[in-house]
Amino acid sequence: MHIPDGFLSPQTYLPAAALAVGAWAWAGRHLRSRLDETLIPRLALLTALAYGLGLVMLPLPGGTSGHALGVALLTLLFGLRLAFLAYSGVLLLQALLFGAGGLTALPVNALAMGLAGSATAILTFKLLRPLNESIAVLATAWVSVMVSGVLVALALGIQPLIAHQPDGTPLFFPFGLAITLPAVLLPHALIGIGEAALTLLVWRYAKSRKWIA
Amino acid sequence: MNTLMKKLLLLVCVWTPLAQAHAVDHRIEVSTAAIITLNYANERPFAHKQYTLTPAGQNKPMQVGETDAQGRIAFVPGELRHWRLKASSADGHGVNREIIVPAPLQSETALPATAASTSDSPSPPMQAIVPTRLSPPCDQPVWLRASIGLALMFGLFGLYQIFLRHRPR
Repeated sequence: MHIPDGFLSPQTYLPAAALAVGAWAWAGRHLRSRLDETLIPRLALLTALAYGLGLVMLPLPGGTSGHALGVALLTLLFGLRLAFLAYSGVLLLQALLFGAGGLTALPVNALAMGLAGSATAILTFKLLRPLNESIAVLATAWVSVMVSGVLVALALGIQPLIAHQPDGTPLFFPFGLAITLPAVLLPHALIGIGEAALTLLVWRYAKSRKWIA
Repeated sequence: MNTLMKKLLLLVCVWTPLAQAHAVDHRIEVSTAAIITLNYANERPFAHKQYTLTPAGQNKPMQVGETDAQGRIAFVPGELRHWRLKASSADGHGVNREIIVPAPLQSETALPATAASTSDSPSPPMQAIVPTRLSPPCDQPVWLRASIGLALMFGLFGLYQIFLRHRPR
């Protein structure tokens, strides 16, 4: 789901960068009060898990491949701000070391997967937790992946509309929304199921260790 | 032959070659091509995906097409070394970057000289095809890059842990 360099126009990544810097500043406020000594080892471990999940490419029907995110997991255990910061770090490392996602696209990737994915996870979990906690965790992970996917597909799919040559030839990414939305969402609907199962597994383990209330 | 027949013959002689001008002819030429291989990080080929190859700094693509089943693009760069390659799948995978074709491929005239083993030229043998693999920013093996990432991550968290332990309360 990572958008690489060269696929997004400056009209997209410059405003996104401004927005992301603001979001990172907001997420980093009062970090010391929220990140105590007992939390850091767990956060490091789960961030490493998200990093690892992003590197395991799952072959998907249609010749493409995808990977789980781990954003919902980070959010359920550490809250929105820490999850967003941690996942932004994961995206940065993946871009620098693996070329998975680009540096110019980092703000869009961070906002779509880190911030929006995390915010969606919080909302979904709060909404569904009163009904059934396990189902709420499963739905949280799946919806989080799908919302991130929608935003990534939107960012890619609008490129032919906003950045093209006078003859209409796209300058950056050639496929419109009618193609990107199903191309991103259908594989990630499958990936989301796997991610939901993994999230529930780790969630239950975390609860058994009293990492979460 | 009457005048009408002569005119008709003239018309046929002029018209027939023009009609042939619509035919698509082909020619097979053994030459020097560059082959770019695109694959996903897990080594699966980036197969049957759209690409454009444009000389660097220009707008009009020289070559547009689809990668083959092995994720390859074959093209004849001629004298140009710097190209912009755009290849993408609908789900957002792909590359959009400048590539540099290796120097030996620049000169097509050099190929026959290399093929002739009797040549006295001291230049090293030239490969007819040089695969140019689009590698990630870091060329180290995957396991090493993954380990570097983990080390950086745990290192940063570890430093913050030390900072918290030693901060004045």
